[in-house]
Amino acid sequence: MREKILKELEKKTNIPAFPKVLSRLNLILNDENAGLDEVGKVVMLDPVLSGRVLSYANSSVFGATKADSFSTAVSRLGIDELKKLAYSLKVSELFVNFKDIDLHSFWKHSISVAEFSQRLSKYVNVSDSCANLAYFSGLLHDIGIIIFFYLIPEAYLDFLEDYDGKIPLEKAEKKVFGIDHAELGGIFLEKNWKLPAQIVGAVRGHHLPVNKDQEIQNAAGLVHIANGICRSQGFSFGVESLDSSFRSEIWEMLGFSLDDVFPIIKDMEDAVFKAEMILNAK
Amino acid sequence: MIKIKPNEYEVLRTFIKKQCGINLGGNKSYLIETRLSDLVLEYGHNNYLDFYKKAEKDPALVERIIDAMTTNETFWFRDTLVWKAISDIIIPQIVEKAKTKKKVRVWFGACSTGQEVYSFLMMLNEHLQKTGQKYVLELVELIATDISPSVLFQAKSGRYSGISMERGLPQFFKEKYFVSKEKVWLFDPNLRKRVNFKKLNLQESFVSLGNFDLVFLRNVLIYFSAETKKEIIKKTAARMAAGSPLILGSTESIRDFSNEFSISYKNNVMINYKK
Repeated sequence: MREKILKELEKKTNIPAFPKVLSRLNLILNDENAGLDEVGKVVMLDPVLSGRVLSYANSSVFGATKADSFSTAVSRLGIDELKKLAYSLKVSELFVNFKDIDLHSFWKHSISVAEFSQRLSKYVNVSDSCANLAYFSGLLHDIGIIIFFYLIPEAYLDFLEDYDGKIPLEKAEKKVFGIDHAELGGIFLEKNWKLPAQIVGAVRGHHLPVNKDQEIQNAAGLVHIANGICRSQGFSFGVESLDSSFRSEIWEMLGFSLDDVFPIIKDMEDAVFKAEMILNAK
Repeated sequence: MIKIKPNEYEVLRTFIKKQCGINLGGNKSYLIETRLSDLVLEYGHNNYLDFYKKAEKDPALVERIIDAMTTNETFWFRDTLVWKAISDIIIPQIVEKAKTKKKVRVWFGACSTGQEVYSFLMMLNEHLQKTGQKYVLELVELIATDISPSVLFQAKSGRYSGISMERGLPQFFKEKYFVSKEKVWLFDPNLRKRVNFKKLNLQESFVSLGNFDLVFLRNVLIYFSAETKKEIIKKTAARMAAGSPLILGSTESIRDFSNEFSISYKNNVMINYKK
């Protein structure tokens, strides 16, 4: 089954391509001289996206002051936030024709995990670039599930209907299909969307964060913990397993402390709120 | 599922005993097959010997093996008879002791996701309300430990999913002590704050814990070898004042492992009192 799925992935042409606006954004952000204005101009090339950015900048996340123009919105956000927002908004609208799962819950979970993974970085000793990597990997960590639906829609739907949650989802997928959503997602992001190896590695490792590259391992670890806590608190994308917490050895590897349980939960709630605001920005 | 060969079983059995003190005996190959098969596959092996060689060099894998071998079972008020004895006998005793001593300390040695310590707190609170002694709650210090930060995170948060709320929790307690928030149920924060959760490996020293007037060590000794069990009970006894009760799982007995306790039976429930 694994080989069949991977062959299908090479042939399949109806899976959305990586959005052009995000490619351009990546390009311009590689240029160290690029300022907020240039980044804003790239986003403005996509009118729907820039409209949603403006709408988000006026949401309750930012309080009562109105951002009446796109440039005010952009300066309110800053380069890093703008890039994250553009990714979240754009990626979550790509698969709109997809009807077999509740995509709103799916992306609410994914954006929550992205936000939450990044917030978790402040409790442990990781670099800023690792925290950023955790955001993008968190956003895309479950993309393999959508790819399963594109490649083998009926078989995957049957599988989910039979899935009883007694073993973790990724283990059940591996048993039935020979590949799980973390690996499939990683292969898709590498081969089809040609995303950087770091994001690919962290997405692949979000259930088993073991990687020779320390930064990838830490980012995958942050996504793993964020995902586990979100799921145990009911913020999954709809598929529940009984074993929805995190691995203790990852918690300890990253150096988290039980003293931070309540601030961490507050961060999770804030991340879920922000995810809802992003998805509601029309 | 990957079948385990007799020689592989011996090697893994010894390894598991050394790493986490769990003694599987000679006929539990099914336990290894059901609990470790997936892990063997996940690590890209098709037999247990290669898997064992990998585990010898990989501490993260050892943690995974410990996790897989000690799956947590979590119920509210697990074992009705035991909880009736706790309510009828243990709680009145501990309340009297608290009033005399001005303070009592209770330890939950394998608290998992918190259901046991919170079950105790709810029952204690009921007793204190009924007898008009609410002030005694302040005199009871509760310490709950477990080896796994993952379960301690949930225990300390006091937040439970719909599924875990269905496991043995009577409607009365659910309504009185929990509020629902979005997709989870939150345990009463004033009671929750009374518990001090800490990480502790039962194979390490208990000295830093202090002394206790009541100890819960339920459904955990089962995972350890006779030798380790003896050691854990000895260390526990050393932390208990004379006359203090030790509560074990309803199928567990320490008769063969310690002579530091006198065993009392009431209504088919065994309670061990420190001599």
